[in-house]
Amino acid sequence: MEALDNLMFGFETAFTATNLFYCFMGVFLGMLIGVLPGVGSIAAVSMLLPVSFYLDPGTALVMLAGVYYGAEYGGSTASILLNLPGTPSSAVTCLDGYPMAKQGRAGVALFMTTIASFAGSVLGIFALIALSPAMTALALSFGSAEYFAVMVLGLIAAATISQGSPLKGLAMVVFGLLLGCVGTDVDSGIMRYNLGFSSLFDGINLVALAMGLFGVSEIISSVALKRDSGPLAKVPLRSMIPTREDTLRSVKPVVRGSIIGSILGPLPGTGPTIASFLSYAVEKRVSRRPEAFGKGAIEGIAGPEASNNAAAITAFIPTLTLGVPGSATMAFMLGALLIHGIIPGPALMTQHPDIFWGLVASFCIGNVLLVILNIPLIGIWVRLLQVPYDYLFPTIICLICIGVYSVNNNAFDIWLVLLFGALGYGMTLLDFEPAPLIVGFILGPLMEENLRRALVLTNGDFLGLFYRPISGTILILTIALALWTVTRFLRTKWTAGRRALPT
Amino acid sequence: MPISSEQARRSEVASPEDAAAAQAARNFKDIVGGIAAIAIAVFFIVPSFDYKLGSPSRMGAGFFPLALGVILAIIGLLILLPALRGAGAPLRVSWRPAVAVLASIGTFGFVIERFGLIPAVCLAVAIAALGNRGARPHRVGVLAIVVSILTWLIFVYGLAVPLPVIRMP
Repeated sequence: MEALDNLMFGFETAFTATNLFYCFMGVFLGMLIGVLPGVGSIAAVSMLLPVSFYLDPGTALVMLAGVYYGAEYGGSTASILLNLPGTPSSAVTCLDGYPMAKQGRAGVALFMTTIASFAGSVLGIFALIALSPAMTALALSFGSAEYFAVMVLGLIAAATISQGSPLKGLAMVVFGLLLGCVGTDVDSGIMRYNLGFSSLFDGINLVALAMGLFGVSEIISSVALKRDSGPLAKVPLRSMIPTREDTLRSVKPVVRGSIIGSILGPLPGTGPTIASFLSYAVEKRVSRRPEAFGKGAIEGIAGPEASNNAAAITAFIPTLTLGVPGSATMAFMLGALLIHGIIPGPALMTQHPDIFWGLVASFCIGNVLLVILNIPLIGIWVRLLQVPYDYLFPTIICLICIGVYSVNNNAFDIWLVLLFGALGYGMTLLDFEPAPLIVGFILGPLMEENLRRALVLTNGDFLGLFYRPISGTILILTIALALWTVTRFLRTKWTAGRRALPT
Repeated sequence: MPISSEQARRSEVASPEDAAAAQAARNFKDIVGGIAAIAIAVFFIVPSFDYKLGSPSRMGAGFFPLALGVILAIIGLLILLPALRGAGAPLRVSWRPAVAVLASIGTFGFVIERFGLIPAVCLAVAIAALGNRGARPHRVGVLAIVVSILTWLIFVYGLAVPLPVIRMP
C-alpha cells in the first residue's frame, strides 16, 4: 500500500495549477506535432526542450513527458489517414490503418488507436509503479554481455520483421550501426569518420538523420505520386464507433501489446518502435487469419498502439531509477533533470519523491487528457491533413528545417538532413526500409561499448558470451530467428522463380 | 514501417498489363542496392585500419567498424549475386520533386545563417512548391509569405526559440 500512498502524494503535486497547465500544453503540442508527418516525438521534445529550462524541474519533466507520449498518440493519425507515419513508432500502424481508411473505416481505426493507446498507457503506468523497485534489482544483474545480447536481438528482430527482403533489412541495420560509429570514440578518444568536419565531433545529429530519412524522403515520394489531398471526405463522429466484432477482436491484442511494450520499454536500446514491430509480428503469428494483416485487420492496429504507448511510459523506468537513458528521447529528459541539478538514479525516489511520483501521477492525468482531447480533435486533425498536400509539404519541410536547426543552431545539421533525405529517397526507390537503420544508429555506440566490456571480461573469447545463461539464451534465440527468417525468404524467392515484382 | 510507400502506391497505379510489361531487363534495384551496400562497406572498412584495431580482448577504435563493414559487404554480395540473373521491377525516379525538395532544404541551410529565418523560409517554401508540376506562381508567393509569418509566430514569438529572424549580411 506504500505505492498507493506515494501515488496520492504524487497527485497532490500534479494537481497544482502550474503543473496541470504545462501537462496540458505538453500533451496538446505533442499531439499536434505528432500528427504532422515527418516530425516525430524526438523533434517535438527537442523543439520544446529550451522552453523547459525556465520551469521547475518537476514541471519541466511533466511537460516534456506530455509532449513525448502526446506525440506518440498523434503519430498514428497520420499513419492511418495518409500512410505517412507521424512518428517512427506509428509506422506499423500504416500497415493496417491505411487499408482500413481506404475501406472507409478511418473513424474506427482512429478510435481504436486512441483506446488501445490509452489502455497501453494505463498498463504501462501500472508496470512503472510495480516494476521500478524490481527493475533496479534486475538491472544490477544485467552485465554488458546481457545488454549486448538484447541489443542484437532487437536489431535482428527489427531487420527481419520489415517488409520485403530481410537481407536488405539487415543491411540497413548494419549501415545504421556503422553510422553510429561516426564521431568520437568514447573509449579511445579517436575521431572516426568525421571527414574533417568538426560538427561531427559528437556524431551525426540524430534529429537530422531521422528527419531526413523519414520525413524528407517520404515527402519526396508523396509529392512524386501527386496524392490527392485527403483521401477521405469526412470522419463523422458516428463512424468512429467500432463494431462489436472489432472490439472483441481487439481485446487480446491490446493486452498482449501492453505486456510486450511494458517488457521492452524499460530495456535500454528498445523502445516504442521495436515494441510496436514486435507486437505486430506477434499478432500476425498468433492470429487465425494472418492473411488479413496488411489489408485492414484491426488487430494490426490495436496491438502495436497499445504496445508503443506502454513502452513509452515504461521507458522512464531505467531513466529514472538507474539514470540510464534507453533512447535519445529519454536522454533529453535526462538532460532536463541534470540542468536543474537533479541526478536521476536510485536516490531520486528517496530524495525527490515529489518529482518522481508527481511525474507518475501526471502520466495518468496526461493520458486521460489525451483521450478527452483526441475524440473531438480527430475532426480537426482530419481537416488539417486535408489541406492540399501542395501547401502542406513546403510547410512541413520548413518545420523540419527549423526543428533541426533549433537543436544546435548549426547549419551543418541542415546539410545532414539534405544528405539523408537524398539517401533515404534512394533507399526507398531500391526497396530498402529506413526504420531498421535508425534502430541500428541509436544502438551502435551502446552495442560497441557493451561488446567491448563483455570481451574484456571474457578475455577476447566471443564464445564466452554464450556461456552466461541470460546472454547465451538470448543470442541463440537471435541466431535462430535470423536463420529461420532468411531461409524462409530465400525459399519463397526461389519457388516464385525469382521475379521480384512488388506485391 | 509502411510497405515501402513506393511499392504500395505503384501497385495501385499500374494496370495489369503494365504490371506484366513492367519487367526490366535486369533486377536493377538489387544490383544498385548490392553495389551501394558494398561501396558503403568499403567506405567504412578502409579508414578502420588507421584507427587502432586492437585485439578481441581489447577492442580498438577500428575493430567494430571493420567487423560491421565486412558483414555489410557480405550482405551486399548476397543481394547482388542473385540479382545478376533475374529480371526485376523497373527503377522509377521522380526527379522533379526530389530536386525541388532537396534544393529547398539546401537553400534553407544556406540562407538561414546569412539572411535569417524569414528569407530562408520564403525561399525554401517557394522552391519546394515548384516541385509540384501544377504550381502557380502567385499561389506559391502567397504560401511563402503565409508560412514565414506562421513559423515566426510559432517559433520566435510563441516558443522563444533563438533563431536569427532577419539579418543583413
